[in-house]
Amino acid sequence: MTDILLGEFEQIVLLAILRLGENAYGVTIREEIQEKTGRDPSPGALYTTLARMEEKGLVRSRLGEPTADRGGRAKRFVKLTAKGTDALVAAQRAYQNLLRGISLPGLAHG
Amino acid sequence: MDKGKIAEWFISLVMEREQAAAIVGDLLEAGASKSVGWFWSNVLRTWAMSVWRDVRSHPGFVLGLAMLGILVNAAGCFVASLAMALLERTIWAGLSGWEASLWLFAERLLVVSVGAFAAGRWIARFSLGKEVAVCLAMVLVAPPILNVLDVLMWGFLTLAGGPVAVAPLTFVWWNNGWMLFSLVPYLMGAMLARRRQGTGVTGSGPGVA
Repeated sequence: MTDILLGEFEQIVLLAILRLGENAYGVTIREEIQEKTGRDPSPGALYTTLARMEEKGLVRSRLGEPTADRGGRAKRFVKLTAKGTDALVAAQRAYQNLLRGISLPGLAHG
Repeated sequence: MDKGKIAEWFISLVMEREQAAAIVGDLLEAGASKSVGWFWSNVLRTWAMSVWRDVRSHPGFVLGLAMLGILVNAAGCFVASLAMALLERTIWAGLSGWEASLWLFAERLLVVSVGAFAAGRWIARFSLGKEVAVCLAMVLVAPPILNVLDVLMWGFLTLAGGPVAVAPLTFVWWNNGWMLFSLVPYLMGAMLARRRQGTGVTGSGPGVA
């Protein structure tokens, strides 16, 4: 159990990182969020959120190899930490608890 | 100089250099099919949001350091003023009219620059990666303090029947103008100190891992 409360956008970013696996970096995370949620987060908002979550120990990052299409700049790959996974599970469990016993149109759940 | 390098330098003012490089790489990659305006607007937004994050996540640290920076600035200005006073004995005596006004302006410019530059360098020692946030806080916090002090002094002198050279609004404008100008030497001092200390945000201060 973790005592870190995640904001909605933080949960979205963490879920996108989980979905992307080893290929999670700024560009792909934004694309994944756009594709799956229809939102178009600004790069600034995403980087600020990533920096904040790294500061909290929810994610960790590593630099990849520099590539020519990025002007010789490396990608910064992001991965969830155990703490981040715990916080995400706790947040999703809270949503599920709230949803249990009610029915929303177009959404199937138990 | 290509836009990537300029953007990287600009963003590295508010975060670690390698992090800034990765962000600019992302913006170049994502912006390959987009306009130059998209690229620069996102560079500016990323920069501004990073500064705002620094202030929001550590308001006490940023404001506290800004207040101490103002004191260092005042001390720097005082030392510079003393040096200028010594020079005045030799130069000021021979000047009159517009030459005297010009000298006074140059003297003020130099004193404010030296004080702010010293404060910027001092700030960089304790706020690596957050220099811009602290410098902006100083520019925002100092004028109201100076204005209140000056208005109080003006009121005191008026009540005491002493000589009052200018109206309160005049020196309020001067305070605000000079403090806004101070942002340049603040940042120059801070950035120069950071460059000497190395590339990144590996120093002390909250949020600096």
